[in-house]
Order: sequence, then C-alpha cells, then structure tokens
Amino acid sequence: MASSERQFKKRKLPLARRRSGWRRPATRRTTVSLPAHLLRQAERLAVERRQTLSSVIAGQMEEAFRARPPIPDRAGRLLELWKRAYSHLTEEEAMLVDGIILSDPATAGE
Amino acid sequence: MTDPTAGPFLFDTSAASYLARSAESADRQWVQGYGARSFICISVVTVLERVRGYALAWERADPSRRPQVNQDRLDYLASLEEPGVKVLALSVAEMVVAGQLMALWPTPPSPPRRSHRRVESRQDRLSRWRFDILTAATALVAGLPLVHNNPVDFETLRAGIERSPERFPGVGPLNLILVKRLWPVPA
Repeated sequence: MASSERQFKKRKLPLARRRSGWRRPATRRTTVSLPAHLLRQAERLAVERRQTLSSVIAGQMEEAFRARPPIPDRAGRLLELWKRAYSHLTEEEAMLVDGIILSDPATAGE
Repeated sequence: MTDPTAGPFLFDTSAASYLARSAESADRQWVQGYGARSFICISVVTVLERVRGYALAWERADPSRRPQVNQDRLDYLASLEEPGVKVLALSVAEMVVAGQLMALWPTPPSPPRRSHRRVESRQDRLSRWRFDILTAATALVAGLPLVHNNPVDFETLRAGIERSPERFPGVGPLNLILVKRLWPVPA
C-alpha cells in the first residue's frame, strides 16, 4: 500500500464522505509571513471552529478568490468605441480614415 | 493562433480598422482575451492618420453629414482615453531607426491604390509609406511585435532589416503578426 494511501486510511473520515468517494484535496507545505494581528485572528477562529489553522486560512483564501471581481472587459469597450467611430463611414471615408486618400486622376496628377 | 497572452503588441492603423469592422466573434474574443492582460498599444502616427482622415472626410462631406463625421471623430478620440489603450510617442530613438529605413527604402514597395475612377496620388502613397515606416520604427524601438493588415509594406521592411541588421544596432528583428491570422480560420 502506498504511503499516501496509508495516511488517507489512517484518518477516519465521516461515513457520508467516504461513501461519496470524497478525497481530501492535495496540499503543499509552504512558509508564509503574515501580519501578526491577522495570524492571531486566524488562530482564534481555528479554536472557535475546532479547525486547524491551515483549514481556516485555506477557507478564507477560497472565499476571497471567489469574491474577486472579474477582469474588466477593457478591450471589449474599446472595440465598441472603434466600431462606433467607423460604422457610419462610407467606403471612401473609411479609406480616408485608414490613411488612403483617393482623388480624381486629374487632381492626383496621374 | 497568436497567443493573446503573449502581448503586448503594437496595432497599426490597418489592424485597428480590421478589428473595428470585423463581424467575427472570434476576433472579438481574441481582443477581449488580449485586453484582459495587455494594453492595446498604438503609435501616435496612427492617431495622426486617423485624425487627418476624419478631417478630410469632414471637408468632403455634405454640410448635413458633417455633424456625424465629427461625432465619429470624437468617438475615436474618446477611445484613446480608454484605460486599456497606450499611445506610443515618437522620440529620437524612433527617428534614428526611421531615418535608416527611409534611406534604405525611399519609395513604397507597392503602387498607389485605385478604386473605380479614383486614384491615390504618388505623394499620398509616399506619405502613407513613410507613416508605415514610422510605425515599424515605433514597434522596433519598443520591442513589440507589430499586428498589421498590410503585408506588402511591412514584410518588405522586415526582410530588409533581416538582411542589414548592422544598420539597426540594438533593435530588431521586426516581428510581424497578420491581423487576419490572430486565430485559425476553419478549413
């Protein structure tokens, strides 16, 4: 039996979770520096909820990421303005705005 | 497909027009994906070409049509104030590169444009070519790939810079992206 599987079996998961095939998400150990007052609050919360400090911090992070506003559609708005700036132009006007100046051959010196 | 996350890119006048007029949802999606991570960079030369174009269109328009042309011009100018847009200015560095390019290619690589019975004068074709050179110089100095819809002009410059890199110390190559190939066209 692989060591990770052994560890998983060692901990008693609630029956409903075991039956549903739920698996604890993979975790990674790391070191972070947190402001002391936030860490104290997290520790208090962990005691109140009877959770580990890691699960309290992970839960708070999950909530924060869910609440993050989507990236504003800056380019979509720009395209709308560009479309508005071009949509009324005739073919000849559009060429002028593209930098192509067409004239009568006599005027153009051809 | 051109990776929209690989920006920023410089969009030349022809590329911006293509995207503004495109009805393809894939074009829009590509630009939105690009704009989520990078500025839409344009050269101040593009602003000059556009504003000159609106001014000429206004002069040639019937008096009843002029307010609409003016509104279009204002919409264009408003687009330059958008937070996702960055207008790149010209400075000595761009002029040094552009001067070399103009000396190497004093005349445009393709003939003046024609449409029905109207024609582009040689002077206007030359000025358009020089605007392209200034835009290419902006991309080279900024180190940005250039998105365009004008392969004849820009490929000429790209190939020439590759042949004579000693004339462009510290810049290049000119990386080009054809705006029509931002995403794969279904077969």
